[in-house]
Amino acid sequence: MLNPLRHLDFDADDVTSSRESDFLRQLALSYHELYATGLTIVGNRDDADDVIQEVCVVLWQKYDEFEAGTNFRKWAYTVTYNVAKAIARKRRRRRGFGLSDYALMKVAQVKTGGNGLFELQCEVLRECLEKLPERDREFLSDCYRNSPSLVKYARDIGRSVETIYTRLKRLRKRLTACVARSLGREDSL
Amino acid sequence: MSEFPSLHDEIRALADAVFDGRIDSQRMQRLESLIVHDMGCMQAYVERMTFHGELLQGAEERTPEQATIAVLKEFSRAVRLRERHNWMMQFWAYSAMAATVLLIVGSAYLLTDGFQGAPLGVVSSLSENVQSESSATDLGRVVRLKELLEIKSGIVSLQLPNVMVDVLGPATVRLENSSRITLKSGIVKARISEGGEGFVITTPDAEIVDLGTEFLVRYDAESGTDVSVRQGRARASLLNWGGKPTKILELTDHRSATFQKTSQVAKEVDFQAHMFAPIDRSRGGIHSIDGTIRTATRKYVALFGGQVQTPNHMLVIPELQNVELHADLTVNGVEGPVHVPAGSVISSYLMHYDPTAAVTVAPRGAVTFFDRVTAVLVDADALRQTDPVLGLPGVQFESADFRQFERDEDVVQISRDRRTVSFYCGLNPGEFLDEARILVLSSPISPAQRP
Repeated sequence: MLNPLRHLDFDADDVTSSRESDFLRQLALSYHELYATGLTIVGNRDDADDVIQEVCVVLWQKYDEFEAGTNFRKWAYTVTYNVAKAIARKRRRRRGFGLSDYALMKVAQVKTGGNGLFELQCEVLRECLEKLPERDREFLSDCYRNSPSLVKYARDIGRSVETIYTRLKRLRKRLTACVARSLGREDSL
Repeated sequence: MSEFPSLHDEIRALADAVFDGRIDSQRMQRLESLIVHDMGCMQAYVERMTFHGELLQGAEERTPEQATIAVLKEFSRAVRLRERHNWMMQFWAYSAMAATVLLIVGSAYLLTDGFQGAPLGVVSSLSENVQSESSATDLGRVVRLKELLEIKSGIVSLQLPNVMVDVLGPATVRLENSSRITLKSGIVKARISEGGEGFVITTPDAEIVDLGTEFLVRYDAESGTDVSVRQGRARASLLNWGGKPTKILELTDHRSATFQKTSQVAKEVDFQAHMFAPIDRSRGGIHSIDGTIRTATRKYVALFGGQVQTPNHMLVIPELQNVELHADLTVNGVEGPVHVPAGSVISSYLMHYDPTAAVTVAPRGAVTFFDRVTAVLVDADALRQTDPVLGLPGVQFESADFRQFERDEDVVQISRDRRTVSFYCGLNPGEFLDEARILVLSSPISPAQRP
């Protein structure tokens, strides 16, 4: 297989051609949304990381086929959905259970259709986070950063996994309630 | 009866279990059934996953650009490796051998120090009153990837690749990698040498990227982050909770700015020169110290014998810095008579050793400067002659001859490159005080450009 990036080292300083910098700029603008879409479909961080890696590579490999001036986001979203679905299927086969293709399709539809609403909810969530004491924010941040290996994280900080999950559950509940209150609804996120 | 007050609570619990990797087959079936048959549940599930996605991305330390580049670099490397597959096969035997060696070394490593992060730099200088939660107070100790340094008091200097970092306690700093640190509280000053550009200091409020400079960052949870650039240029970005930049200020020579994430304030303020003072007072142009020498952190008003005792170390006290001599200076140095012409720009450092009578071990150590040492003065006459010219204003010095280094038992040496001065002090009962003055010729180039 030929390396499509053989002439690149992909350090920011080395991204000199306009084609490469266009690609990076557009991908960076959509990155979070693509990651969130991948996560919603596959459900966990490990798989979401795999999805976004695969998506970046596929988009770059097929970037020649992308017509300048058309909707990069929409194109990238389609690629993300297909990659995420394939990874979710693979995991389902390996584990013996998982959401059906039909459920995954519905999840993707709801995610795309409700993007505006989700964006608002995320904004409110960020405000709610600011209201948490710093130590709780740091704890949450550490937990999510270490989410694929919370067991190891618990061991590193000398706590039991259950203690970590109990605190995490309490904080998630608090944030959920805060978001719901801010949006003026009983139930949210 | 269900353990959940509502279906949405149940969906959230199931979604959390999916995200945390704690879901089993039975609960997955329940989730499938709920979201496929009830649109409200489907909406709640997607909302919950969006919630996790937001928290996950808020905890991510890389920007989207950095993440994208990292992914593509990884891919590029993987493809290159695949292309070299055949070539690699020829080295299979060597790899197997290397793996065996690694296994042996790894086992030995586990039995000794356990796993540690990669080395990033060393502790290159300590002030006299350093107290630390970690073991950062060992001069010359290797500091490692992801290490957390908690300095309770004093100044600890770290030499990282092309970057000198001074941490002024009380402060907590995490070493993310060789070009990035996180300041959790306190003050950090960074001095960048050529090749160190792009060094990053992150606080909860801001991310400061060096563009070839000497700058200082102070953070505390209440007042936020202050950034001061003394020389060169730095780009400081205000961050939101998710760690994304929302406002960027570019700061140049003698400019300061303040950042506060909660109020999303990022504004330029008067240059805060005083913030540099404690570190300048301690470090001046000292590159590193070695052995039982410590830099000073206090302002001394009297240095008579018995006044400032240094039981276990020698003190190096930066005196007047970058002073232009208005008249020729001719004095006796450790290498013989020294003539420094008028117009020369000199920085002065006083070595002060005044142990208690109980001390039985003489200190030895070395001080290395960024610039070249012109002379080291050890005679009482030379010290008295230069006290008013190069000593700090208002400081009272010992006038008796015993302040001088005893040539027969104290040893002072200047290295061949004239950047390092080594000391060995003897113990002469009754005349413990030993002082020397080091004159360093200030370089015309900026500190930021120094090696």
